[in-house]
Formats: sequence, C-alpha cells, structure tokens
Amino acid sequence: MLFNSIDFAIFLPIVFLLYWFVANKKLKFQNFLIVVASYVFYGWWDWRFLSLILFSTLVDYAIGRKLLNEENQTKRKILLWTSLVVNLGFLGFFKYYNFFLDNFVEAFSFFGYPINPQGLNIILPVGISFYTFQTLSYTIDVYRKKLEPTKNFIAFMAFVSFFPQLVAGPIERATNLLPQFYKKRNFEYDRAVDGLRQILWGLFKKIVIADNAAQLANEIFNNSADYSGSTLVLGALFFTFQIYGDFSGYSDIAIGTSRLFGFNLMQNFNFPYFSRDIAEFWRRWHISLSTWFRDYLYIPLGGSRGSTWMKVRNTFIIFVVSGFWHGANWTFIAWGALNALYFMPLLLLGKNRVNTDTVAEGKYLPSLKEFFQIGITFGLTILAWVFFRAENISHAFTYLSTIFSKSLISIPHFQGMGHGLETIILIMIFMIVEWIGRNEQFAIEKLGFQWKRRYRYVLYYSIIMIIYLYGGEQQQFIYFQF
Amino acid sequence: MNKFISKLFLFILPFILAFFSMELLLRKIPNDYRYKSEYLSSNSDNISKLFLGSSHSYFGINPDFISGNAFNASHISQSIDIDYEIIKKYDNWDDLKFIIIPIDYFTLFSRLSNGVEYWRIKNYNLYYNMNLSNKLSDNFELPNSSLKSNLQRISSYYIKGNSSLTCSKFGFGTNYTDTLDLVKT
Repeated sequence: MLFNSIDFAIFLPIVFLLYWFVANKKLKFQNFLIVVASYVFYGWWDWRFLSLILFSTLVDYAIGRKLLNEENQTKRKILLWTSLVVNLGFLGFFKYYNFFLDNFVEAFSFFGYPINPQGLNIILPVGISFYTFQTLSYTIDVYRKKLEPTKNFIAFMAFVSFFPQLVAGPIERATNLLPQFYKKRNFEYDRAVDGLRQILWGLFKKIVIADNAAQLANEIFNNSADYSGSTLVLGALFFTFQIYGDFSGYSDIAIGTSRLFGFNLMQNFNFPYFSRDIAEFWRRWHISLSTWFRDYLYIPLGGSRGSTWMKVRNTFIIFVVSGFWHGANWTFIAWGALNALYFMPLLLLGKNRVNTDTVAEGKYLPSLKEFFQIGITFGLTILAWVFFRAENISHAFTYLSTIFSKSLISIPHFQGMGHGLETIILIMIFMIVEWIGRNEQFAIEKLGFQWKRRYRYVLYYSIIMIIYLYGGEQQQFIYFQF
Repeated sequence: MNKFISKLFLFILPFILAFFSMELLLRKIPNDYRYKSEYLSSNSDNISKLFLGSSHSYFGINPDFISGNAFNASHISQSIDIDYEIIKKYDNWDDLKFIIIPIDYFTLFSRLSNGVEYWRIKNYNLYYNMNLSNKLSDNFELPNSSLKSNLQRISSYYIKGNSSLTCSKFGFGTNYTDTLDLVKT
C-alpha cells in the first residue's frame, strides 16, 4: 500500500480509530492490532511474501529466546550465525541471485569458458532490505547482551512488521523501538498534531518535489544521448531532488504516522543538502542505515582505530557495502566507492568530524565560506547521484563525459521545459522552507507556531492546495526497490 | 482524543465537501462512455455491425456511411481486452452479424491498464459498470485528472454550456485534432 494512495487514506483512519477506541483497553490488543494492520498493509502489495516476514520473525524470536539461556560462547556464535544466514540468505537470494549469476557468466566467458546457467525470474519482495536489517539488529544486540530478549511474541511481531516503517524505513533499532511495544500507549494531542504536520510535509516532499522532479529526471536520463551537457546537469539536479524528496518524504510520513499511534521513530534525514562536507552529509543522509552500518559493520571491523590503512579499508568497505545494499547493480557499488573517495581526504586529514553543528545556527544566511562549502558538497553529491540513477556504468560515464564537454556551456533545453521551470521554482521554495526549519526534526515542525491559529491553518491549507495543484504524476517510492 | 478528532474533522471538512461536490458535478456531465453504454443497453439487440477498438476506429469509421444498423463503440486507447468486455457485457446481440476490430502490431500485447492512458479505466468502471480494476481511485472522476482539467470540464459544461459529448449519434468521434497522437491512443 502506498502512503500517497486513496487506499492508505482510508486504511489509516480505520486503523487509527480501532487502535484508540477499540484496542485501547489493553496493551496486547494494541500490539495485536498493529500486527494485523501491518500484515494487511504489506499483503496489499503481495500477500505471498508475508510468509517471509513471518519466517524471519519466528527465526529471530526463537534465536533470541535461545540466546537468553545460552552462556557457551561457541553456541551463542552458532545461534547468531544461524540468524545471519537465514536473514541474509533470503536477502541474497531475492535481491542478488541473478546479479551474481550474470557476473559469474560474464567472468567465465571472459576467461574463455562460456556457461549457460538458468536465471530465475525472481520478484524482489518490497522492503526486504529494511526489515531484514531491523530484525538483525535485534539478534545482534541480544547476542551482544545489549538487549534483553523479548518474551512477548506479539510485541516482537509488531516490532518486525510495524507498518509505518516496514517497507522503506527508518530502519529502527530493537533497543529503541521494541521497548515501546512493552508500554501501553496513551493518546497525546500534541504528539498526534505534530505527526499530522510531519505527514503533510512528507506528502509535499513526495508528491510535489519528488514526483515532479522524477518526470523530468526520467526524460533527461532516458534520452541523455539527445541532450547537451548543461541539460544533463539539470537532469542530475532533478534526480538529486527526486531522491531526497522521495525518500525523506517517505520517512517523514512514516515518522508522522508512528506518532499518531504513540511511537517515536528516529530521525532519518537531517537536511543533508546543507552539509558543509561529505562526512557531514553522511551524518545527515539516511541516518538509520548509516548508523546501522557503523554499529554492526564498521565498528566490528575495527572502526577508526588502528592504522591508517585499516581506517581506509574500513571506510571503503562500509561505503561499498552500503552501495550494494541499495541494489544489485555495479552502479550502486560505484556510487558507494565514489562517496568513499570523497570521504578519504577528510579521514586522512582527521577532519571528518569538523562540522557537527547546524550550519549558520542562529543566523539567517550562511557565511561566504559556508556557502562555498555547501556548494562544493552539493556539487559532489550531484555527480555521485549520476551513478545511482544511471542504467549501467557505461551510461554513467557517457552521461558524465557529456556534462564535462563543450556543450556544458549552452542553454539547457529539453522536452517539458515549462514543467521544468515550474519544478525549479517549487524546489527553490522548498529549499527556503527547509533552510528556515533546519534546526528542527522536519522543516515545518515549528513553522507558524507563534502565529494566530487562522494564519497557521492558511499555511496548512496552502500546502494541501499546492500538493493538489502541483503534484506530479504518481511514482513508486524509489526505496521500495531496495 | 475527542478534541483531536473534532478539530481534524473540521479541518478536513471543506476538502471532503469540495471533493464530493466536484465528483458529483463531474459525473453528471454527459460523456461518450455513458452515452455509448446507455445506447448499447437499449439498442444492442438491433445492432448488426459493431465497431470496437481504439482511436483508429473511433475517428476512422463513421457508421453514418454504413448500411444497416451500425454502431461505433470504440474509445480512445480502448484495447482488445476491453472490446471483449463490452461484447460480454451486453448479451442480447440478436441481430449482430459483424464485429470489426482494428488489428495492428500492438493489439495483442498492449492494454489500456498498463499504458499511459490508464486513467481512462475509471470511465469503464463508472459508466459501463464494469470492474476493470480494484484500485479505489479508479472508481472516481476526481483523482484521475488534474484539478485544472476537472475545473475546466465543470466550467465548460455548467457555466459556458458547451456540449461535452465528442461523438456522433452512432458513436463516431467528432473532435479529432491533428495534434492527437493516433499511435499512442
């Protein structure tokens, strides 16, 4: 079920009313309702894959219970590895099987041994990368004795399948989300209103920014051979805002929806396009995934301790694995590696934690230095997104070589110029609002708080009207495919 | 909780009212789909030559020039699966001698439901009373076109008094413009 669909607009109020009016007497009922709603939400797309979620839930619940009473370190390791193999096995099979097969075929052919194995026609279960990582965080934390394994199976089911963040995150840690299922939720007016405001802003980002930018990015990327370098820059710029609007919009809707049900999820995006260097960008972009990799991969590998070589190796591993997590294509690996390269100078000079505060805090505008830092980081990010969006590596290089050709100095022109100009204006308005609200969890969190209620309502009605009037053609959320 | 629900309800009430009034107004505007559906309901037993298909037959075959009781039940982008649904829908084809459908390279694999003109599916659900899609939005006029275009339709029919039908008495398309891409429709 898509957040920006009529189906969800009907589903959400029904679940909300049942949750607060029917199931509010007992915690068990509330959790049970969340499980049922989450399975309906997921099954709306394809009910067959519910079995995968259920199986992962059963395996990790059982392993968690076993780990509770097991003190023998070898046996504990075996249990942990069982969970890793099962969960990553599913992920590997559904997401990467054909990728590895194709690459083996190519490698064998390259060395003069052509083989012809059968590929499988596999459907990628929506959100498998997200819920796999979420459930793994539980087993790993239980293994590390950071978390008491749960006895409450319904609460654990609800944790694994919690519908607001099931298919595209934020990837919640068991330590944060699971305990929230142990406590009865009571309705809080302010939190619910805050949730609605975040949902509204998320819908604006998705429907107005991402969906409009998507149409233009698709036109330019799909016909890149026909366009000049300057137009391709615009195409990359549109994709830059498409992916941000799409994914951070989804996260906003997920977090806002959770608030309606009395849950607090982690912030997933913290105004990444105002970052002053690439390290800051990665502390602000897809925070739940970056911190997941930091805690469960980077630190176990040695993190930033040890020799310079070790730091470089670990940084490359985490970026390349992060890229590969996004999809079974070399373009994602290249995108990850490129970001690692961007990161290297900061790491080697020990400057990767310089910009940890909010840019231009307490000021209306950034300083000239900050302005250039933001510009350079943003430019590097745009170039990296070309790899992320391109069909294949060769397409990415052709695209970039056209950008850095003479045709860069030309007036951009593409099919749908009028729509392009309208979208650029919308993006500019969007970025101004984001800049104003950059200290908050989401841009309009505090916007208009001091205003009279009627003016605040005008603001909300205006956003709704803009969504309706300027909403682009409905597009699938990009991160559903990851 | 009650405060939240009552305030939220008051907040969205104007949208609910606007949605349903516009939906009602849009559905009351006569259109080709309703016209052809009603025509077939009352005349299918008299039709001897039935033309189905997409814009190719809609703008290409005028039943006025064909002898006998002929009717053109084609619509823009109507694919062969929907032609079949129309035939199934009206089972009293007592006089039917010929069914003419356009066949081209795309006929056997292109469908309205997976093409760019997908938004037209709602017309079959709403006016032919078919069930071509389970998507809720395919059962409403409003979500399938932009607000601007919906407002234009309402003002054109209710304020300017323009006719909203774009076909002749026997179903032939009368609003062909050379900007229409017949390959895609």
